[in-house]
Parts: sequence; structure tokens; C-alpha cells
Amino acid sequence: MHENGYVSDQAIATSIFLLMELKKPILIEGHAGVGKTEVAKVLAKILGTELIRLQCYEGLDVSTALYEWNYQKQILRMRLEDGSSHSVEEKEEVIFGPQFLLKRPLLSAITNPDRSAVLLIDEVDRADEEFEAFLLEVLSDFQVSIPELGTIKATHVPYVILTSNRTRELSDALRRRCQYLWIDYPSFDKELSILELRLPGINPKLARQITAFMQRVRTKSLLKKPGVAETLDWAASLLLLHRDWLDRESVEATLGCIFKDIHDLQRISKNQLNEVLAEVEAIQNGP
Amino acid sequence: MDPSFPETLGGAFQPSGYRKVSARQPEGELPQNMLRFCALLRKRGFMASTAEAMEALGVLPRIDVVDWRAFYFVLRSLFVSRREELNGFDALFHSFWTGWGGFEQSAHQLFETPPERIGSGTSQSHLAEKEGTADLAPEEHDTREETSIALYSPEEILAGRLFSRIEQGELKDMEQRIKRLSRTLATKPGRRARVGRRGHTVDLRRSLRHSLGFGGDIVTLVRRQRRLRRLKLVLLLDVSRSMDIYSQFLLKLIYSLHNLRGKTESFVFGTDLTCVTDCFRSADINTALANLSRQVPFWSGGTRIGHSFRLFNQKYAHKVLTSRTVLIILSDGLDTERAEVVAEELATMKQKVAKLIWLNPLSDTPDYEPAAASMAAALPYIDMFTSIDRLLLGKRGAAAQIA
Repeated sequence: MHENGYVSDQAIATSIFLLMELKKPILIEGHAGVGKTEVAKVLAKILGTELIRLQCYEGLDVSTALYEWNYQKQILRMRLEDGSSHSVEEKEEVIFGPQFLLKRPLLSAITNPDRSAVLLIDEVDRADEEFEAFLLEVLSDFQVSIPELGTIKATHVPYVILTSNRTRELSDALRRRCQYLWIDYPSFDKELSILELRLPGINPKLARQITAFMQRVRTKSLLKKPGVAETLDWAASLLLLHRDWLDRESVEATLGCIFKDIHDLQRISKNQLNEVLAEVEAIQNGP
Repeated sequence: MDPSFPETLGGAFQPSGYRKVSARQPEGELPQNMLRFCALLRKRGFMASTAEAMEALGVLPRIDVVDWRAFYFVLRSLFVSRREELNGFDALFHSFWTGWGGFEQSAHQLFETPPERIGSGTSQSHLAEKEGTADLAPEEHDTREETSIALYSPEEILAGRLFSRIEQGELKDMEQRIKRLSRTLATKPGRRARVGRRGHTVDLRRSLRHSLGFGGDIVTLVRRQRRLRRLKLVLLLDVSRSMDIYSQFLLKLIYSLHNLRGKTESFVFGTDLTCVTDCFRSADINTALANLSRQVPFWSGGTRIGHSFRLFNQKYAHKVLTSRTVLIILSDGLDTERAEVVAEELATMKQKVAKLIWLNPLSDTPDYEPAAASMAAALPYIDMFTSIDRLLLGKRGAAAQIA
């Protein structure tokens, strides 16, 4: 995973191993921006297979998640058939054929030809309970029934990864179907190696300072604590500004990369900022 | 891939690299211990079934070199199902598998600091560990279970509080009113649609199906409209001494709400906070009240509103509060603690719910002003501040505001 730009640890590696072995879906929970979605992307890259993504939202229904008929095409076909002597049943047979079926993420994941796809069901906590129940059915049998076509079975069972931001408690039934993986904010060392891996040109001193800064900021009481995504964003913007070390001016100019909430921007007062900066600088000058 | 880890699970990406392990795997003993471990987890409230134990046993021989870390992570992935369980699992794993001779390395190496004893002195923790080991090693597992049962002392069950019995007639009257209220209370168009004449979007699928009857000509359009959905109710009831005279009435109200609406969760608080949803599920109100008095030790005591709200936010908020929840607080707002805590915790709640309502029985007195410090601090976060009477007796307007 390292070669593909992902700094893993043993918990993540074990979960992926079990996913390969048991085909048991992984339910990943963690704060925003700690790399939950990345796991699926990198996995698809490593396996050289397709990544199929289903973004969940409230009201997500079967026709957006599973399949939909191509109505325009069906209507045209019916017009063409107008003059013919087919009976209603025969017409029905034609227009509800596979060529009029639009595959949505879940259906295309289980009918992926050649090999298993990686199916990412993102932010499953945003979908409602009804959808969760439907998802359970698909995840346990990997088959779906379409009234007009019959049952479609999975050709290759996909590798399923679900992510959740814990805005809603997921049902026990769904949890039971999955193995569980909690991704926490990274430690100093892990965050530093992520930074160095993703931004290879970065000045080592700046990287250490940025990491130390972020680690300290996360201990403060904030509404939205910055994740690794913010660290990378921030580092990239500092690189763009050609900064080689952190000073007050550059930090204040780029605060918008770290704090995404007006209350947090106000809450992190100048004093606190200076305090954190002083601590960060002390580390650098110490050893 | 983690560089420290390639020999063990790195094989995940080279399916050809599997070897059958290993003379070290103790046949016979491991499966039994795994099932015992599984039973232990279940007893502690984990969702661990034999199915997961079988999966773990099935997968272990496929790891090249089984070491403690690999063993630990495999079990953790399979047995843990929510974040709150992680610490508990670590402690149980540590105490259960320590002292078992199945692996050359000891489980101590797994945790630099044993999770349960962080912070205690070295000599103490050593002692504690010894005890733990003796108690929890797989072979002596049964003794441990007995002690854990004995730990639930009857101290917590305080003398039951007596409520005056409630007659069925009184309840009928209450339910009548609530039914009226419930129709308008807390419904909101959901994201899901159903077929309906007032809708704006055309349901192509049904229109087309319908048209087949006319030989493919679309004669009528079937439309979809948003389905109305009920919001979930979460009730926080103050049961401190100052609320005593209202308790009886409020409990009736809550019982009726539970009866008439499915999705309702109730909590009572005073100096502490307890979930009492289960109590209200009983078939008649007097049983419900009896259960309640048995479960709630802090009845008619002091009030620590801020503290109770904090407990609620820590323990229950992530489970019961959603963007389709109406949170109703029934309290007089008379608190003995700092008001800032109340404000802080209410701000957290407010972020998670659709509506936050505070029903204050005192607000019925003619010249009431929310002067109590906690009440004043709470006001900015409250969507609706009124009394129960006004809500129940008022015209539709009052209830509709909640929707």
C-alpha cells in the first residue's frame, strides 16, 4: 500500500486480509478526513480492479442505487414497434430486456465481468433505515431480483467497504455482517510519514513543524477537528507560498485550510495560536 | 504496507504466498478457548457469535507466521463492532489470553501499557496483573464469571417510590388530547416519495407501465410526492424535588406519548441520568411507574442539569439524536451548578437535532421570567419555550410550530 501513497498500519492490513479471505465487508468508522475513503481507492488500485462508488444520502432509493429502466429508449422502441403486429405481451418482453436496463452502482458491482470489483458504500450513515435494510439483503446474498427480468446473481462477489461518519447509529444487523475498523487521528510518526509520502518535495523541517502543529491543534476543543486531509491541504498551500518554516504570518494567512468553521476560527484566539507556535518552535530548536 | 509487518499479513496481496502453518498451532485447545472467549465477550454485551469464532479459526492457519499482534488484530476486526467497544475488548483480550501457552510470545508484548491499568503504579499494576491472570486464564474462566455476577450488588436498588395510582379514566382524557396533538406534532416531508396527485415530479417508471395498457401511448402521467414522515421524539424529564408536583402529570404524558408514537426515547435526570424507555413499554401505566421507581435511585433529589446533559451527550447522544429528532426537555431550569455547562451541552445537542423544545411548568405562572441562571443561559439554543398546558390545550398553531 505504501507504493500507492497510503501509510497503513497493522489494523488496516488485518482488515484487508480478512476482506480478501472471508469476503466479509469492512465497516470503517472515524473522524472526517482520516482516510476512510482512501482505503477503498488504494485497494482497487492494488488489485487492479474497478472501484465502484455509491455515495449515500437521505432518501437514496433502489432506482438510484441498484437499477433503473431507460425510459426514453423504451418509449422510442414502443413507437418503432407501433406498426408491427406484436401483442402487448410481446412488446413488454422486448422493452424490458437487458438492453434497456441502466445499471446503478450496486448492480454493476455484482455483475462486474472478469473479477471482483471493489464496492465503496460511502457515508452509509447518511442513508435512512429503509435503505440500510435493503443493503443488508444485497450484502448477505449478493443477488438482486428485478421483477421484469428475474433474479440476478453475483458473477464475482465484490470486496465491499462501507464508511460511516457516525452521524447516526447503524443497526446491529448491519454491524454483524461486517468487520469493524476504527481509524483514529494518526500519531505524530504516522502523520509525518503520510506527509512525506504524499508531498515528496517538502522541506523536512517544515514537515515536522506542520505535523507537530496539527497534533497540538487537535488537543484543543474544536467543533471540527482538522483531519489528515486538512494537513495535506495546508502543507500543499504552504509549499505553494514557498515557505520553508512556520511563522505567525504564514499560519494566519492560511488558517482557512485548517479550520473549516467560523466558530473555530474565532475560538482559536491569537494567544492560543502563539502558544502552539511557540511549542512547535521549541521542539525544533531543542534537539 | 507497514514495513514492520510484511511477513505476517503482507501475504494478503500475494494469494500464492500462503503456507499451511505451523506446528505451533495447538490443535484442540485453541477452538475451545476461542469459543470460551466468544462466550465471555457475549456476556459483556459484544455481538460475538459462534459464526465469528469459526471465521477467526478458519483464517488463522492461513497467516504465515502467527504472532500475538496478528492474532489480536484478527480477533479485534471480527469481534468488535463499534468504537465504544475497543477499550473493553483490549482489556478482555489481554486478561483472557495472558498465561495461555499457545504462543511463544506473551500477550504482554502486545500492549506497552496494559490498557486497564494505565496510570497505576508499577508495583501495584504488577500485582493487579497477577490477580487478573489467575482469574482470567482460559482454564479458570468459570470462576471469574461467578465473581462478576456477584459484583452487581443490590445497593443500587433503592426503596421504591410510591406513586398514587392512576385511574384509567384520567389516562383516556390525556390520550385524547395527545392524539389530537400528535397529528400535527412533528411530521415533516421526508426524502422518500410515494405516488400522489399533488406531486411535482413525474414517476416515469409507473407512467410507462400504465401506458402499456393503451398500447404504449402515455395517456396519464403518474406523479410522485414526498411522503410525510414522523420525527422521532426524545424526552428528557427532570425528576428533582422541585419538579415533584408535576411528576405525576408528566409521567402520564410521557407514557401516553410512548403508547401513541412508536419512535420515542425517554430519559430522566436529577443528579444523574438514566434511560427509561424500557420502563414505558409495559402494558399498563402503573406497572411502568413501578418499574421506573425501582430503576431510578435519584428521584426527588437535587438537580445538576449541566452534569446530566453532559452525561447524555457522552453516552446516548450519538445513538438517539438524528437530524429527524425533536428533543423535548421537561424541566423547571432550577439548577445548582454553573450555567455555562448547560449552555455548552445544549449547543452540542442543538447541532444534532431538528428541533429543541424546552417545556417549563413554571412558565404558566402569570409573571414568570426565565431568570434562573441555567434557564437564561439555555434560551439562545431553544427553538420553542413554552409550558405543557399551552402545548396541549392550545390551538393547532402551537403544535404546528414544532413541525
